[in-house]
Amino acid sequence: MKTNKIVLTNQTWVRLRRASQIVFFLLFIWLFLKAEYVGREVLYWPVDLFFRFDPLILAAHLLNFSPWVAGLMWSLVFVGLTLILGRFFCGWVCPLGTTLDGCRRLLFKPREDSGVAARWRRGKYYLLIALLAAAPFSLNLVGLFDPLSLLYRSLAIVLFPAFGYGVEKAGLTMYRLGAPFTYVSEPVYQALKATILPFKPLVYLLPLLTLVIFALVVAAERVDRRFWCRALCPLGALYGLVARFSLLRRRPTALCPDCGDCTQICKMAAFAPGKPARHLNSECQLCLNCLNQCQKEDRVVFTWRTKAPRAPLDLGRRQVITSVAAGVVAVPLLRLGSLARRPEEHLIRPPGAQDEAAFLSRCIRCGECMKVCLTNGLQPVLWEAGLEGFYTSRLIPRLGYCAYSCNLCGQVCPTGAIPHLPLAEKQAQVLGTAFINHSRCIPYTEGDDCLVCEEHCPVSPKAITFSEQEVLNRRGEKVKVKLPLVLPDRCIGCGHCEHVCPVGGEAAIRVKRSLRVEM
Amino acid sequence: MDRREFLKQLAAFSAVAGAGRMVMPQELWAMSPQEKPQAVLAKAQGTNYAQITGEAIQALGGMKKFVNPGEVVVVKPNMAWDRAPELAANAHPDVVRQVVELCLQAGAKKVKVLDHTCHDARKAYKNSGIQDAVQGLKDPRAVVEFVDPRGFVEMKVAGAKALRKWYFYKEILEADRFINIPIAKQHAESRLTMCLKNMMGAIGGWRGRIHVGLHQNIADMNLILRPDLHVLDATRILVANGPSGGSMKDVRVKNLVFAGPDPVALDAYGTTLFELKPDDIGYIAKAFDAGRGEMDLQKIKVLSG
Repeated sequence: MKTNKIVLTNQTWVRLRRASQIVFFLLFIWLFLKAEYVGREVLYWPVDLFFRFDPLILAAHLLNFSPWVAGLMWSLVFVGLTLILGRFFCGWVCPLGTTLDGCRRLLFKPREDSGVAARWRRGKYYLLIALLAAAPFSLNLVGLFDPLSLLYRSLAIVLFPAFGYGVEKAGLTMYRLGAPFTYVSEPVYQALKATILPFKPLVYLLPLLTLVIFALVVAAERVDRRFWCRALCPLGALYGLVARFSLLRRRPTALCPDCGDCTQICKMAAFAPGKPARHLNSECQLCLNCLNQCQKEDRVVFTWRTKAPRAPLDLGRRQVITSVAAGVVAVPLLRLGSLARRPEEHLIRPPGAQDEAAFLSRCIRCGECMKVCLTNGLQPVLWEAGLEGFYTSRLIPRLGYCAYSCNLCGQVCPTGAIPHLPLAEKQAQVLGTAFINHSRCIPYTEGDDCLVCEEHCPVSPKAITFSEQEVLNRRGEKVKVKLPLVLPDRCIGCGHCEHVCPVGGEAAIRVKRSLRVEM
Repeated sequence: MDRREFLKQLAAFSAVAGAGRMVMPQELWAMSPQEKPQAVLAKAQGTNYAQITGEAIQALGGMKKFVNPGEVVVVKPNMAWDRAPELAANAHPDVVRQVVELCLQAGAKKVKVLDHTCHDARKAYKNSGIQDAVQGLKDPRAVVEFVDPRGFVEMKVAGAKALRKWYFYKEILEADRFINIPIAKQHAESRLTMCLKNMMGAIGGWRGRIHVGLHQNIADMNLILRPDLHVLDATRILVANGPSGGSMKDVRVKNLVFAGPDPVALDAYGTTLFELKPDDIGYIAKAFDAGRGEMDLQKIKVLSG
């Protein structure tokens, strides 16, 4: 290697790669933790950074003709780098890839490649093609499969809340026991509270389902190393399509006839079947393990100067056509069910996302809005918005209302599915209208004053007022009480009234979307 | 020691410690004396809110009368709402800062400023301006604390007619001194909120439910919560759309601060700001009946600051 001026040993390169993985993973976690209100109306950290560098999200965003979002263009930088280096993202950057590497080393014994992931290799391309084929028809499901969305969502909905719950419970138990336990537990608890725990314990719907999906992705590591990345990841597939033409290439460009150890070393099985078994740039994630572990000294190098023919991307014309067709056909199939019925009356979308079709076509299901929501009111949707709405966010006022002076969800949304509105504009957004259920409301049914809803109504003048009327109380006596009334043209549907309503279970005042959101 | 043995010892130790907690006598809560407070209040007027706050307290004999050196003081301003100071939903930051400063000057060991807020506590503390005002004193003895949800303890309320048992904040009960800083506001259900109703921010539990039978509940919670000093902020008051407000149209600037040991007297006097009478407000009459203070305006001595 006389031509190589920079003296870095192969071992150092692998260490560098691992360091890069850890740095990006920690950055991902750091930005995740920073998606929280800490006394500044505008978040300090660019918490959606990873999503701005995600070309899969950009591709779907452009293909479904969504409005221009400048931040997403950063992903072209990674596309450009991939053209030069190959699929470095998967091996050096991707926090899900790092999570899988870490989990595999912790949980599973090293074992030989089972060959399942290798057989499924093309699956990720077909998935990518189907997802992108559906995009021009405004069906945008890339977020369900995007690795960054998947990881963020799993962290937000189940992993982080579960961690928080554990610490809170332990802290509470120690607190109840009192001294001397608290001498040790309180400093630890307060330190965690001040650093990584959320201000208030977070709770989200669908924790079990989210955990199962995440656990399956991790468990697939037992079948094959980086199973997700090799067989399913559409972002990996997109990078693979670009990496086919990358300048940096491995030499030898095929498995050596006298060795073949690389098939065991390579966690991506980046060698085409047949003889010669050509190295696949589209699969190689530049982990550099082959470079480091080659027993035949210095035979493996990564170089800019290789003219050897590239392995073809053997996707098969029929299969590609089938994938495109599947993507297109999915559009009506997923929607027919929801076309047949009226939208769910209590499906309240985040502020500014009231146009359901536009919201669904832009949302990447990452869960950032749910993580950052001041009141923990934004929650994942299962099928309430049709199959297409899986993991989009909705406001559940009983869990948390839309705070009047907050526009954090719009600040963090990477694609503008929830627009970043100035506060005054956001405060004028109508999410729905509150309705009082006269057969549950306390003054109407019990003849006692209450008016907690009126007290909390944030608009001025208040959208909830009252009328003093004579009603029968529970003992059958005529009493004068203040009956709350909603003035619909003032109500913005923030759900604060529903949140604080002291009636047990379902609130006596609820936000509905009809009339003003559904025309 | 192997793991099994360690676990056994831990279990035994925990059991002993746990049993020890159970047989310990309940702590004696430090609150102002049970007898009816003196029906006296001080009134000060001016546009420098810190100064008139000081004048009102001085007219009562100064903060040294209420806070002794080395004591732990909890100051509970109304900072329940995520609203700017001028919107008159929260106590004025200048008033709160002045009270905290006077406590520090009187030699308090620690002054904790806290409120169990209605809006998100982070936003309410910040946007009320109170957090920044107190931290601006740059005195390590003065701290603005968020309420720890673990810190609410169930208490029996002796003499209560409705609220016989409820959750009260331990830090407040255990403090040596307790100072209440409400702001005078309109409130649809109870008509007005001032000293007595501001105690809603010192209790836990399901507070929405307190609003059914609110007047008696407020009177009852004030049997447990007996602040040593009340500073009623009427520098600007909210006359409509309270208690959260949100529009300058509903704010009236009065440039007044009242102070005194008797919450019923202060609230009774406060009704006159809104052209109401003390017995228009249910909880004032009920707190008077419970012997919590004086509501007859003729019997209340008003000192001028």
